Order: sequence, then structure tokens, then C-alpha cells
Amino acid sequence: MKLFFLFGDLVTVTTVGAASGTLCSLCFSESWPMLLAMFPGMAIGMFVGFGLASVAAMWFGAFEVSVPSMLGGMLAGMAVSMAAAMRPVTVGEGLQIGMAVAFVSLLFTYVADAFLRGEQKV
Amino acid sequence: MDEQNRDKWNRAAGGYDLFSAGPERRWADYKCDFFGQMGDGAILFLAVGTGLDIQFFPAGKKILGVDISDKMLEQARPRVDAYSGEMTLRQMDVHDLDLPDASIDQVFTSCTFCSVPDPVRGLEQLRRVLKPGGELHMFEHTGSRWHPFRLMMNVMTPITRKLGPEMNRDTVGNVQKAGFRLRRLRHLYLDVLKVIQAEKPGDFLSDSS
Repeated sequence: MKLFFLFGDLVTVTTVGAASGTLCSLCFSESWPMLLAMFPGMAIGMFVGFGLASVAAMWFGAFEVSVPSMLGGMLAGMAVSMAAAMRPVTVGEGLQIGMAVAFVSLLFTYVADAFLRGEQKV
Repeated sequence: MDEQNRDKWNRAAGGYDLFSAGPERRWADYKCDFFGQMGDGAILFLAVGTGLDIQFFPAGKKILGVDISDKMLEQARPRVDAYSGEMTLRQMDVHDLDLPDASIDQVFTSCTFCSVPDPVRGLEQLRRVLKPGGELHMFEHTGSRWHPFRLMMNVMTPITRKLGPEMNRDTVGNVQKAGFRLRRLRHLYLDVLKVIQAEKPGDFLSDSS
């Protein structure tokens, strides 16, 4: 059963990254100042993450999916929007960058979980 | 009764089981442990919803299940009827529990206090109905102390609030503000999903609501 949820986390978060990256590669270009592109890119990614995670939650769980999805989407959107503001980014590149960034975000969340979970002092 | 809150959960009743299926499956082991702490006294289960948690209840307990939503209670009925113990359902608003003081031994909540409009008031009502030394057991999601998770949850809460829960509640703090003594805190996922155990202090001076 745990493999099922691991699979779900991976598929959901990388899909979020791909979608965020693709969308941001279409929305932003070199006409945008980089720092100005960053914030809407993050917002687009976070909302894409929230939306897709809400659907994925029906199979794979709530916060374990939505938190890395929102984080992955946010960072993927940020990375691609900033890249697109510096040089042309194709849809394929946006998709790949987005997926890679989201995957790293998922790993970050697993590491953070390993540190934060467990019995707490009261 | 807060009719706006009731209507929100009545609207959510139809799709509740569908959207909750994944989380319930993922949390099954945690919930078995959590509800395994039900004792033999009078138990109050707050926010029964559609009764999805009943599958995790140990057999033969005496439980009063309450919820603000009559539509949710309607859907819970078959699960309640199938439960091996003694379980009754009543429609109630946690802000104004229609129960006598010091009448309950244990209270259980599951993903409830993310949605209660005035959580401290609701918890004070739970403290009122618990006997001195009575136990509060909570399976809840809260905000995170750590960025970037904290930032994301603060940004999303104005949206999720309209659909159901808030993402950034300080439920541990609210439990303490309501006069409970914290006994145990266990993080199940990050510092977001957690089990909180508290007790109503046993001195008689703290019995008044």
C-alpha cells in the first residue's frame, strides 16, 4: 500500500510541475523583467498544484499530496517564468524544467517530513 | 445554530465520501491507533460527518456522535446502524452543545477544528461537558511553523475556507487557550497532520464554563 502512495505522490507532483512549467513557458517571455515574472509564475504554479492535488487526493491522500504539489508547482512556475524572462523557453523545455524542479521539491518535502514527524515534547 | 456553517456542510455532504476516500485510505493505520484509545465510559465523537471514521472504531463502545449538518448525519446513519456498539446521532453545533456539564469521559475529533468558526469557544464547550480529568483526543491538520509550507498554507486558506477547512489553524494553541492541559503531541506528516491529546484539569475550580 505504501508503494501505491509513493507512486501517487510522484505522478501527481511531476504532473503539477509539468503543467506549471508548460503554462509559464506560454505566459512569459523576454519582454518581462525577471523579478516581475517570478511572482505571477509562483502564483500560477501554486494554484495549478492546488487544483490538481485536489483531484489526486481522491486516490492518494490529502496533505501528503497537496503540500508537495503546491510547493513543486510554485517552484516550477518560478523557475520557468524566470528562465523565460531571460531567454526563449520552448513548451518542451518548460515541461522538463517544471518536472525536474517539482521532483526535487517532492524530495525536499520527504526530507522535511523525516525531520518534523514523531513525538513532540509537551 | 450557525446556519451558514450548517448549510456549507450540507452542500459538501454529497461529494464528501468521494473526496475523502484517498485520505481515509492513507491514514487508516493512524486512525486505527487513534480510535483504539476509546475507553469504556461515555464517549463524544464530534463532527461525525458521513461516518467514514466509524470503520476504525473498536467494537462495543458507547458513543454519541454529533454534527452540525443534518445531510451528513443522514449519510452516516447506515454506518452507525452497522456499528457493533451503542452509537447515537444528534444534530448539534459545537459552539453550543446541548449536553450537561461533566457528563462525558472522552471526546474524539477528526479533522474538525480546521473548520469550526470559533475554535476556542468550541473547545471550551468540550471542556465544559468533559468530566474533571476527562480526555480530549484530536486527529487534526494545522498550519506549519516552517516556511515555505507556512507561506503556502496562509495563501491558500482564504480559498479553502469557502469550500471547507482552513489550512493554517493553530489548534494546539487553541486547545491550551480553552483551558486544557496538553498531554501528548505527535506529528504524523510534517508538523501539519498531528494527534493531540489533552485533559481537562481535575480541580473543581476549573469546572465552570
